[in-house]
Amino acid sequence: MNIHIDHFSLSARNAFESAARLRKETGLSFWTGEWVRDISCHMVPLGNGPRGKDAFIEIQCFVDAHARRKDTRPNYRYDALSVDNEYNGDYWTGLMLGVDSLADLEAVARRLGGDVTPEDSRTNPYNHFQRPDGYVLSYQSAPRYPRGRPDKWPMDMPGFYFYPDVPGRSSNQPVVASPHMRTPAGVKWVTFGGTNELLSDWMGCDAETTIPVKFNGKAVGVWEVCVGMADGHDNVIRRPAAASVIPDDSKYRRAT
Amino acid sequence: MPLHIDHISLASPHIFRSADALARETGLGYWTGEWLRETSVNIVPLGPPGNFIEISGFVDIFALRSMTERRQWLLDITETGDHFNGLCLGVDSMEELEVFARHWKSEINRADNPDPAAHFQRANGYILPMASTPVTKRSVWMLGLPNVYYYPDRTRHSSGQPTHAIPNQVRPTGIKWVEVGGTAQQMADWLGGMHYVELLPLKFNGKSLGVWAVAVGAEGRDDIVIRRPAASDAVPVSRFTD
Repeated sequence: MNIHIDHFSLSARNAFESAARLRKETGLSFWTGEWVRDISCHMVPLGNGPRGKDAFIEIQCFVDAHARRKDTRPNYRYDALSVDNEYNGDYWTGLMLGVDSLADLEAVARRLGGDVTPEDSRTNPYNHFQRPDGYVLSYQSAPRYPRGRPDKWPMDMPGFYFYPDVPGRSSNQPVVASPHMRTPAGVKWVTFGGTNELLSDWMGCDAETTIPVKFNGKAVGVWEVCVGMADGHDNVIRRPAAASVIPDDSKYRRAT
Repeated sequence: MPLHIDHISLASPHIFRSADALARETGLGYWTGEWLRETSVNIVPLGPPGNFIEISGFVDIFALRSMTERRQWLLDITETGDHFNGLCLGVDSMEELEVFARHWKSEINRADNPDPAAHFQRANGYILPMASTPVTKRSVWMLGLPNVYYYPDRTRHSSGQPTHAIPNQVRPTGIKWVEVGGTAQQMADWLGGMHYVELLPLKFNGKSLGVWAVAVGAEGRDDIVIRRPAASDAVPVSRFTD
């Protein structure tokens, strides 16, 4: 099974502000307009590299104030973003791994005791990411835990994804041209919390030799992403992991 | 152009869902990525001579932890869905804008305000210079009344930017008319004379103040009429009479 880094989720209070700030910091541009349910994403393609191919960052924020205010259930992302930090409340909220077939995804789900999300993008488009041109993004992910997330695993263990439409992937869409824009050349490495033992147990293989990951022993989740650049020095994007500000995640472990 | 309609604001609880719904309803495309502080607008160009609808809503819900009268108003008028919440008129020079400022005994929001946070920004980093009047304690939109804009750089006007391609897209040919509440006399009293009202393609329905419908011409098909309630239908302007 070929497991690779697929994408990163960077949650922001305001994705528009966050993406503009990230571009000033790194030269990485983005495209806009993708949304699902009550969130929207600015997509930052990271280019293709030998070990981190075809990856991207989704900078996401809530865009439906009413939905959020009416939903009284505990919300992990909202609670993390409520804590101030030096990045205007930006937190890494996900490392997403990719596999190359539905069969691989189903094997991952079985091993982790969960399900695969249904492929209902044609019959239930509003449950999927969609773009302004009407394109509905088809993908499936695992593990989904219909009866709640097992206590064994921290909240921010990576999800696994399978995208059947590679040209339609978020990483392969054109970004907005802007001054001082730079050209990414793939993910070089990512710093993750926890240990190699924990992530390897989750991935079912040795994490360090499968993906370009380093560990800092802190709260589980992404802490740094190093992006190789075709036009000069690497970019290291540092933001705190969401778990670093959620001391007890037990109340968020509802069905997904 | 003398005094004209520049754009119309449509307040939305979810700007992407609203833009998608409007596109499906009308075939009008839109572009994304413009934002100002805690709000963003999806822009629907309406064709020559340069009009647009801005579908506006919150994209930073954390800003609502610090509630203001205007934020509460935007929340309240979107509680039950989209509402037209602003009629935005335009002039072609600062001199013309100053005439309206004097009429309203107001200052002008200047286009050259050096604070970038005071301006709309686009995804490409462009900061939109835009002057407007009146400058009041609360937006005149909350009273269902129009304000007036001047854009020193017309080449970057929101109406002229390319949209995302959408299925069954139509080519708009400009605003045909706008239906507003109240009467022509009320509008004349606000603008400073009936001669201004006569310049504008307005229809008055006698309902509460604000925009109720926008008719847009389209190549090869009947006019498109976009009907949404005025903000004053959700929050009466009488709430803001102090």
